[in-house]
Amino acid sequence: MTTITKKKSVEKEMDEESYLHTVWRRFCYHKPGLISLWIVLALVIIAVFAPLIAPYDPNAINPEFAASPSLQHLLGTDTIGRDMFSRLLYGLRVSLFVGALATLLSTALGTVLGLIAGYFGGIADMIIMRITDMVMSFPYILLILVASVIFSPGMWNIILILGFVDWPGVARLVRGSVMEIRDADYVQAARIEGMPGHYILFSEILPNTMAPILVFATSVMAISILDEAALSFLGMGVQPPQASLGNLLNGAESISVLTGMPWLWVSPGVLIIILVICTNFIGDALRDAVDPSTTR
Amino acid sequence: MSENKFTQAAASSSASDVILEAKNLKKYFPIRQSALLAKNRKVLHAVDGVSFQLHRGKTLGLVGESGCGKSTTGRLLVGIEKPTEGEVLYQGKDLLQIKGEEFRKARLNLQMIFQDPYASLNPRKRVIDILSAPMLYHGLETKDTVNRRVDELLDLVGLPHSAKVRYPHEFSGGQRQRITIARALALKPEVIVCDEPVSALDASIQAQILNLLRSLQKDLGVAYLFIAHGLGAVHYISDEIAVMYLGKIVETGEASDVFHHPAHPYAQLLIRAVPSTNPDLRDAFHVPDGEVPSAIDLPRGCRFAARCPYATDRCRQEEPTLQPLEGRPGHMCACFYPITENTADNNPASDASKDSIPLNSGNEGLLSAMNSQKTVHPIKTTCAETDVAGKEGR
Amino acid sequence: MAKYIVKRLLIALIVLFGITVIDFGIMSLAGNPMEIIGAGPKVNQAALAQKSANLGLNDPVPVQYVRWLIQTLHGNLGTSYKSYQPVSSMILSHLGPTLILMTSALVLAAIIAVSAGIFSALHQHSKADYLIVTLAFLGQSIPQFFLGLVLIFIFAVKLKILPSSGMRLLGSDGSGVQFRYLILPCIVLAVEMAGRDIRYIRSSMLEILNKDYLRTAKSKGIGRRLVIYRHALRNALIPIITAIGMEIPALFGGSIVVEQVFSWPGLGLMTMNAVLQRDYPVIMGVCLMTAVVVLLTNLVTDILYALADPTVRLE
Repeated sequence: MTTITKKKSVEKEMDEESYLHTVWRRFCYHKPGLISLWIVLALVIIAVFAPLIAPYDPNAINPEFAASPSLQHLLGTDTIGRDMFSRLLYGLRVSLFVGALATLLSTALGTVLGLIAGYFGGIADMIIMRITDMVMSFPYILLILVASVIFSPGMWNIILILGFVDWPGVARLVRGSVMEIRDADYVQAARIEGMPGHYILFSEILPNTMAPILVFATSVMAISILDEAALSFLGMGVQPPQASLGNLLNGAESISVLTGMPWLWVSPGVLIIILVICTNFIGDALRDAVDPSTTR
Repeated sequence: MSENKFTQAAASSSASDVILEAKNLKKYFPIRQSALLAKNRKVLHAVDGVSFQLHRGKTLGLVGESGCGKSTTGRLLVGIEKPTEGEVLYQGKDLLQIKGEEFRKARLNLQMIFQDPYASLNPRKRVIDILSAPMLYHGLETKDTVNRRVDELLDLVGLPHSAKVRYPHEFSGGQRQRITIARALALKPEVIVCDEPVSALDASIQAQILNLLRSLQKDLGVAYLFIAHGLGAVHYISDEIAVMYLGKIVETGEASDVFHHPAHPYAQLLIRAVPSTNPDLRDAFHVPDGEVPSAIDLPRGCRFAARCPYATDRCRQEEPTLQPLEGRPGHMCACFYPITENTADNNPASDASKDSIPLNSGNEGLLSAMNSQKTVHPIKTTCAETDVAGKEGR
Repeated sequence: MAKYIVKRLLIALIVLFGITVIDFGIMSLAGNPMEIIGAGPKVNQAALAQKSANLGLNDPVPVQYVRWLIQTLHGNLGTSYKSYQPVSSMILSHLGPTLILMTSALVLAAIIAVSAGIFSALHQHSKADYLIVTLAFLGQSIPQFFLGLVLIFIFAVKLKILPSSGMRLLGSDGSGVQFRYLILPCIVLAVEMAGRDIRYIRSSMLEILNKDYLRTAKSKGIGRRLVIYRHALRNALIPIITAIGMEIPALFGGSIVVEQVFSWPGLGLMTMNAVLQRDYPVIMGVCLMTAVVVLLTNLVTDILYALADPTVRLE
């Protein structure tokens, strides 16, 4: 009895692996995507272990302020003497955290709403799609701005706001594929077998929409990182002294920093670009990898 | 109503054996033209008063061209469409009336096999998951026993046990159809609706699947409603045949009787469409030029009149109902001028006058006609006769 | 067609109504703006309370909303809490610079995206194609404010050939001067758009080029050039219209950031100030105006889309 279940689970693992293996093999064909994946993984590890790597407390004020990069301060210090390298590490940590959580929130929200709209149709569909229209035809950053100033800026509020603003794309995507799959023969078969609605929705339909959701989520992630940076740059996002890649750039609005202390703004800017471009490349590679029409 | 007569007639033959019965089933689909102009809403009469009985362990073939409502009928039976009107009786109980546990149990006895084996299996699930999920959910098996049951099912449909850990895309069309058959059998149903189960397969595979279905019926005593657009496969597998045209059954009867001696001109047309090895049979039947009327704007009178070579004014005014044919027990036809057997083709004038139109139908009739050398092209001759009949009618 | 337009207009109106409700709801959640505006030691609290009462800020939120709605339907967007100017005239006076910025950026982005996208598709897998796609990726991935800073650093601080901020009006110094001020913000605003649209147009064009009818045209011996101009481009018009239409909301958003970086005296800067000062009537006015513009653009895009593609069903 136990051997059977054990055997079953082993078989299951093997097959899961083989499916993922196919996706992985295809993913590897996309060289920029593969390189990006390693870079992002490295950045995530660095961000996670930031407290161990950072040479200084990110908020500790050192005697030498506005110092240019040296061996002691790899990226120099800011105008009040905080170690820039340490702040960059912590900023990366915050930006990745905000990006990931906002993406998770909006993707989950969009998936649930898309499933409801696509599966049940009718009035639920109409209401959800009209709300989607509303959020989508909003100048996005304006909504975020208004919301963030009103709900007092801060990391958690930024996550919530980005999460609640980014979902319509996912919702439309999921709705579209659910409507396509809803009438598929294998879903009808499950109905004839008398399977309950939640089984059909989560076990028959959802797994078949996962691939496009995942691809879409990478672009949401890229957008979230960019938006967090923009908001923090405008002073509406993560609030100092807590560092984020965006608010590190905030100082560069002053002309003396911009002209005299490039080490303060070049590195966070470049880091954002690397992060976003890598996320986009991963999304691209993933799209090719999970696309059933490509046969490799 | 003719349908009632039909059911009564059939019921009298073997009432106890009836496992599933359709009573005056109707399914109308509203046609949405525009949300703003909802007033003149039209409906598509997909199924328009269909009645039949399915006997335990037997096969009823439901035949008709695409769009005639045969697939919708199948979907009404298994409950994925709700009928506009009518009843589906499972063991004498109306499936639309019973609720809860009784309904759940009843509907598990009605399973379905789909036409496209590529669309009817979830690509993300392994065979074992596809087969075991419903059995586990409905408590037919436990986690410990389900593995053996899946092996059993795979044995039944002739697939190796190793198939269960594989995904649908690793199988061929025929193998996939075996998997869907196994899935349909998993819940031990008494009735399986087979919606054109072989028409998407290669000819060589078709025979294998049909044989499998037949042997499964013999072993498990399951009844089939076998839906198809041509009579070829249906004739092979069915005990009874019902021919559908534009939402209505136009002819029904014992399989070989309907196949060899069709009474309705439309049934005759379908049978002519079965490819034959006899060159004289090919294209001998005059295929009517008329268009299939739309199921939205149904014509008055007989629905087949526009295409029927024998149609008279009466056909265009009055709708024929399903009537038992004289001297042919269990055979019913909805035609004012059913084609009868042996109304000899050598005396057209006398035959064309009354209620029946003479036509050699079926292979034997044709062969005898050729042997007697009365006519070289018997079919064409009889078509000419019908023209005479038509003129006389006017 | 007329029925389709009417239907779409009705939906747009419902959406617009919803947007104003959401806006108002968010703002009412934040509480009485007077308390935030007047949160200073020298403010006379009694006078503030009087002002709140005069403005009707003590009324229930739905009452306030209905009052705002009625007012708006009469063409009155209210007056700013801060400057006491009518909101509509404030918007009008700031609209010009923003429109100049947005239009020039849109045109620039469209020119770059269409030419680069089509070129890239026609030379698929070439070095130029890879370069364009990579640049497009880069353009999409650079935060606008960072690009702005870099450009200011290079062109204003180091090379000293372009002004870093502000806008000079046409009348005082002539159009040449104004154009100089426009260059950097326009580029920054256009880059992200162009990056996104290059990829979109490239993939749509590739799809069209692989269609059977184009293969047929090629195999008939019609020259490559003619095939592209006669057949492919006409069909590529649809994705191009869609791509550009979809950019309008992004343009409004982008202009807020860009105007902030370059101190461009447009709507974005005004909105930013209003947001910081909790000048609700101004925020509501801007939101309403942008929503109307965005919805109208969507509508026009859909209609153009339907006109360009005869197979689009007008449900």
